[in-house]
Amino acid sequence: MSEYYIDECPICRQGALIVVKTKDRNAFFVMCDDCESQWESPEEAIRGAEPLSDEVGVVDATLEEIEKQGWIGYIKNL
Amino acid sequence: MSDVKDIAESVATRLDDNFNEILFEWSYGLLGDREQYQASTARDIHAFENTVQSGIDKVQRIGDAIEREDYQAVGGELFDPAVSVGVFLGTRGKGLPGPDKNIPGLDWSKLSRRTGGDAAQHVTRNHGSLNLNKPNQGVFYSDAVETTNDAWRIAKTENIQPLTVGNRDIYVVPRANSGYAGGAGGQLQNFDYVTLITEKGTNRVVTSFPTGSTPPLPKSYDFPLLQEVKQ
Repeated sequence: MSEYYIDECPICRQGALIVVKTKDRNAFFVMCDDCESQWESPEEAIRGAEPLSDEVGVVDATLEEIEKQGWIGYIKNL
Repeated sequence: MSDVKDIAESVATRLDDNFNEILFEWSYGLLGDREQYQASTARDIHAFENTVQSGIDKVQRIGDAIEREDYQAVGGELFDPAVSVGVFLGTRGKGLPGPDKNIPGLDWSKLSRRTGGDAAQHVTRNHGSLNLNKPNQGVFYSDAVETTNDAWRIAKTENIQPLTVGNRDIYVVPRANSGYAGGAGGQLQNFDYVTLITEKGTNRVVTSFPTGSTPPLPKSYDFPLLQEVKQ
């Protein structure tokens, strides 16, 4: 389980929104760790936008990668 | 004695013949006086036929009551309910009614794009035991997979339709005592629903967890607004 989460998932209301990356590290997404819905940015996830229809294999992003992506401000449990 | 034995053998080899004749011969052979017992045998046969017909009629009445789901009437007809119902169903080539036989089960093969585990591992890990790191968490009382399968059966039997959000179908299935409110914020309240999430339009499980009454709807749900009355 990822240590860093953004908010409660707007879809299932059970999972946590976490930052993940594709395995080649070329793209970052926000993902629910329970229903695994994915969004392109924290803003879209938080406001409950339509999740991405094409889901990709991912791994958890590190804190450094989240900071480099400019999303560190969204992390709640720092 | 040999006559009785011969008659019994004869009866045994002619089981396909007319039943009345067999019964008559059996009665005559045992009692030994054709004329004296012919009348009583005939009465016995007639009484037996009446009893058989009564049984046939009774089974028909039971069957009719079952088909119209009048179980009070069924109870009134029966001396041995299980046997009589079984005879009725059996004579019509039917088995016990069961909602499971024609309901396709859940597909648990979806692999997590993050962890690589299948859906059963995912549901069990996330909702099979208490995790205080989660702010909100539905936790199953018993086996997460079995409970979810049962919820799916209920959903299909009762034709519960899902709420579709993005590429997820969300089923909220009433199922008493499915779990409790866990996580850091949960107060161990009993949960009487199972929320089951599948890939849209499929039976492939994404996740499943117990919930209270209807959980909060997704933020993106399009709530219909009350139209203002134009002056």
